[in-house]
Amino acid sequence: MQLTPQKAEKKTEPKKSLKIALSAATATLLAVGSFAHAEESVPTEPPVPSNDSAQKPAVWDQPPSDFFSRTYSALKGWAKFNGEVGLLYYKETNRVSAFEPSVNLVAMFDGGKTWSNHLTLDSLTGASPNGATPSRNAQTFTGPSGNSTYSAPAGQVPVDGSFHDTRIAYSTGWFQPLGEKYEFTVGGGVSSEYDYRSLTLSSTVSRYLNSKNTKLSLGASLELDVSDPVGGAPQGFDTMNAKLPADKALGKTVQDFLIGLSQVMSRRLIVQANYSIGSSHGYMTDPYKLLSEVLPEANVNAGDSTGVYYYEKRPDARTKNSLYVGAKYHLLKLGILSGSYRYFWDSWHVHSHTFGVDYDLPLGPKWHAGLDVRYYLQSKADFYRPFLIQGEALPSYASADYRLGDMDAITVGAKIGKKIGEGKNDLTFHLQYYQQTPDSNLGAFGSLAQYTIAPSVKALILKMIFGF
Amino acid sequence: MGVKPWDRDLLAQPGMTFGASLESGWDDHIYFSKEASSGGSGFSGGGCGCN
Repeated sequence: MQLTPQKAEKKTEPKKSLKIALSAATATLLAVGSFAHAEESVPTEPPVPSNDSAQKPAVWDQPPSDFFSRTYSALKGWAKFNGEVGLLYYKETNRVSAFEPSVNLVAMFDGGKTWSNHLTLDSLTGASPNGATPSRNAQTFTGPSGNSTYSAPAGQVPVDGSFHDTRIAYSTGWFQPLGEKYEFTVGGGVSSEYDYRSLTLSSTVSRYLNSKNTKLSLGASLELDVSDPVGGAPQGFDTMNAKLPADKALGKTVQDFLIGLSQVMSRRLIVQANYSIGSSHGYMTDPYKLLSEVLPEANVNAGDSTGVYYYEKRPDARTKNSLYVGAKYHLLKLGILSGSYRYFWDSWHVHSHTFGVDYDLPLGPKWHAGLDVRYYLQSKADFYRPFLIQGEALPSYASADYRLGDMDAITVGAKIGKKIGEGKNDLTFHLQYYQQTPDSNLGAFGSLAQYTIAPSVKALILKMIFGF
Repeated sequence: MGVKPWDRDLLAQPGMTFGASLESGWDDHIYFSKEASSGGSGFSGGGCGCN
């Protein structure tokens, strides 16, 4: 439902009169209360002298409201605060769902210095494709722990239904201007989940030029990750039932560099361009993804699973590049239009194009709404293989993870928000639909040709954000 | 190209700035875990075992 400014104002009128009535009633009650209190508190005996500790109860003896209001006052004197608190709900049809509460808190100090903090919890459950192909016969798989099994009915994409994980991540950053022309940011973050831990350090230096209309930024980031998969870390092409080295954690390092330029074009237009390059080394194989071995084309049962499943194997080095351009154009009373484009390419021969458009429209003084569209087009990694063929030599690397295959994806969304209180706070609901469509031409033959090896993924995304 | 300091009223509005937000953090996480590309507007690292 969209409200015109007039309708929005009309809707607030009854609330105003209600507010006045409630205020009057509250004032009357408080006045009566204070008179009653005054009557009760007339001293009949001299007051008993009290020591300091009696006058100032310990923190744990104070009512919670007192404690919080004193803490709030102390913090308010120290810095100004703003931030966001929100909830993300992500649900794929018949697959994974995620629930992710997050909070951003920024403390602002004199001189433009800020200290930002971001905390997020991420809970995932549901079924995830294990990489194996559908088959004419039902298939049974051993779970990652090696102690359980799960099955895929004939003709269906095998999914591991036991997928669940909880992640907690915290990141922080310090920003400060250095004189009139420079800015400096340093930050770090930690993330921990059952089978994966990550530590990130980053820093960016920016230089203003051209009367602060041009900003040039240089940034670097270092990430250190440790993967400790359930049931051990497969080294690549281990078979599903092979005993994996237990308790073997494997590391990965990621170094990123970014050069960015933002330019004010006019009072209403600002543009940004970034080039970034990232280099990863270490364990990048997905320890839970399998590859099916199928009977060759010459076989009478061509395309059927042989019952042998290999763990995938990815290269242990990857260099990613991206070129990103973004623009924001102010349409005055008609809101703000934002657009972006990213070209991505890497040493695994993945290439992708990402287009995004966002439109935010104010609906009177209180309400605002928005629409967004994102389109993503990806070409496959050179080692992407939907299956392996019996009798053929194993390749150097292979993965049947559809996320490394040819695909496109589209996201469409709509949001509605309202300013609360005196306009300092804002509550926004954002609903999006995301659909990935992997390439269906995967060279399937024989019995396999009748099945969709990598079906579409459809997801609903709901975001609720309270800004303060 | 560019504006004088007194013409920055519109550019100073929150919707006209490039930068990370709660929502952009969620988006980065979703797309990092579902697609083979990442980064662009910021660093490309993921910090999670989701891909």
